[in-house]
Amino acid sequence: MNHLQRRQLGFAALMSGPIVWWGLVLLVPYAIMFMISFYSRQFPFHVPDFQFGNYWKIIVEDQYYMVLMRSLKISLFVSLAAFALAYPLTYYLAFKVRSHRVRMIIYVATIIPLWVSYLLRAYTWKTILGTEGILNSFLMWTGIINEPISLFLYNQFAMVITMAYIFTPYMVMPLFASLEKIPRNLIEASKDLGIGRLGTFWRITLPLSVPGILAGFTFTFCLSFGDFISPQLVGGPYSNMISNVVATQFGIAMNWPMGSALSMVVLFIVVAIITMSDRFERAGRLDLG
Amino acid sequence: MANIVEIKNLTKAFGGVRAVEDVTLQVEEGEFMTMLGPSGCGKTTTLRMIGGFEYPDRGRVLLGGQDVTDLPPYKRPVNMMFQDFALFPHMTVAQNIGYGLRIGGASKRETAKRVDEALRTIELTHKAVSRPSELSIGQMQRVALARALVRRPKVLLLDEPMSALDAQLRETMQVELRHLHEKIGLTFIMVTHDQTEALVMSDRIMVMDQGRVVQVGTPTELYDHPASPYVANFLGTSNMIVATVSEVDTAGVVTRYGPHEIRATAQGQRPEVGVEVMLSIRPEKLRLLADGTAASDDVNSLSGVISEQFFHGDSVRITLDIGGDKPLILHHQLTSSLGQAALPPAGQTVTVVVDPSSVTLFEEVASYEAEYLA
Repeated sequence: MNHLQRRQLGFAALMSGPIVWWGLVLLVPYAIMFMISFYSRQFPFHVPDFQFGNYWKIIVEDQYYMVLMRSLKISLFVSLAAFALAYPLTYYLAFKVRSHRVRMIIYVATIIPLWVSYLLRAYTWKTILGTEGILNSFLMWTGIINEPISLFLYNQFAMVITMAYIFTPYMVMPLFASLEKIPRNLIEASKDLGIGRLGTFWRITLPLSVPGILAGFTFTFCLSFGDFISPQLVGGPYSNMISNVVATQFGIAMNWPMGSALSMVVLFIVVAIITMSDRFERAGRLDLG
Repeated sequence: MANIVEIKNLTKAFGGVRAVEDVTLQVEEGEFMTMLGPSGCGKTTTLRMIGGFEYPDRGRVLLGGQDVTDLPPYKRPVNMMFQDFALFPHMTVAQNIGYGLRIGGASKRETAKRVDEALRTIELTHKAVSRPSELSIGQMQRVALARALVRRPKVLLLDEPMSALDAQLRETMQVELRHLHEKIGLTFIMVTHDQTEALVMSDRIMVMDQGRVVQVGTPTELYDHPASPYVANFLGTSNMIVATVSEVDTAGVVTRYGPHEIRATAQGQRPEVGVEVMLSIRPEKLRLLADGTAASDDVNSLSGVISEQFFHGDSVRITLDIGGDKPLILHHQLTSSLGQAALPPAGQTVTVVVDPSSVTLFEEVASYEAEYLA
């Protein structure tokens, strides 16, 4: 065995693990699901087939179409809320906080909830927004209301709040990275050329933070789009998201073909968003050194 | 001429560390002023206070007679060329140059016209729609310069404008910038740590050290009459030797250095006999006498043994031991093609002469051993 062959063998040995894992856990299941999405439902299970009926149902039947639209809408609101919270915070961190130590403390404090159980964090909002919750107690204590109101929990508003809370760190991380990377002398140069704070923000800071904004939106949107827990915990009756329907199809309804078709649509939308954001990012990629 | 820039008692500290201490300076209209000093001497901070990027703890900044200390950078009639050029990466060359005009409220037509003019001046019309990342360093520098000048500021601030350039381009740009200054007659204030650059380009130089102004003057004044050993050493190289005063007369001061007497023309100093003083003698002011005249009785004729010599092409750098604490270094300019044989070899005894007016005397004795050897 010569040197080259030995190197190739070593490479193969090293890569075999990841390749087997990737194929078995990702590629094969995708392929199976893709296949099943064309099957027909037949009591008590399903039969192999090749037809587009499952996909067609997603478009024409309200129970699927509405849920899909609702999922997109909720994800958009979550992303916007996360952005509205994260941009001022990261801007403040990157540009206004002078001490590196203070900056790192605030940053870590912001993302540290990611290490706490997701379920727990979602559940927390149940206790805040519920009728026995902190918000109601507080409002009663201040005298604004006389008895607990159930307005806060079990609706889409509660879902947006909960998910925004959970996913904001994913917006903060890329935003902070991109804002911190902007050379300070560009901002000074803009001011030197006679442009005030607001103009400098619109013309220099904001455009140069677009990669971070794109990445943040991609993260938060895709994560909320596939979310399953928040609708169940705080969403109430009219807040089902696409993942809940998928779960139902595979579980109670025993309709694997329908569940697979829905999953494929979710997969397609997420891949499309990631591809688009990547394209945008590439098109505007700048060398900030 | 009127003072276009006047800074009074500027003081600035960062986290308890004094960066700039009590700096006062007047710059005349049309002058090329350079702030020179090693890194951390406060020159950049002073420039940034003129530009409005730092707010002084104490002192005022006046531009054209108007107090601008409290104005933000975007309200000051000055423009800065940044060290790394600070070109906007998401804009084209033309957009970069026109930025301050268009966003600052000039009409589209006016902006286009002036950007066009600027591009023609810097000969980069063909790069108008390129991104800064597609330019060479030299081109970036020209764009940065055009962007700073297109708004027709009263003063152009230059923060280490040559630091990103290689040695060859740097020399060319020094001359070009000097020409530009003469052509447009604008006031330039430059910051540099490069003494050659300062000497070549400036009308006047302000030498700074540890936040303070050490000396202000024309390049020749600073070079020939440095006010302190620090300036003598920082501008060019110099032999800094400690000698003992042996005689003071109307013409100057006579000192003893090893076996030699060295006379210095007095610049008003009257040190007492017996005290130690510091002498600064530029290496090129030491004249090597021809072989035959070795036993000269001239004033300041110093004989010694050559310990080392280095051929520099246009000159020879000779280390000469004259029996003092330190050997002298002299630059012997080669005015005609001498063979190696024509140079006195190491170990030979030679005589050098220096005019008393070329010997600068400091009553302040400081140790510049480290810089001297460097």
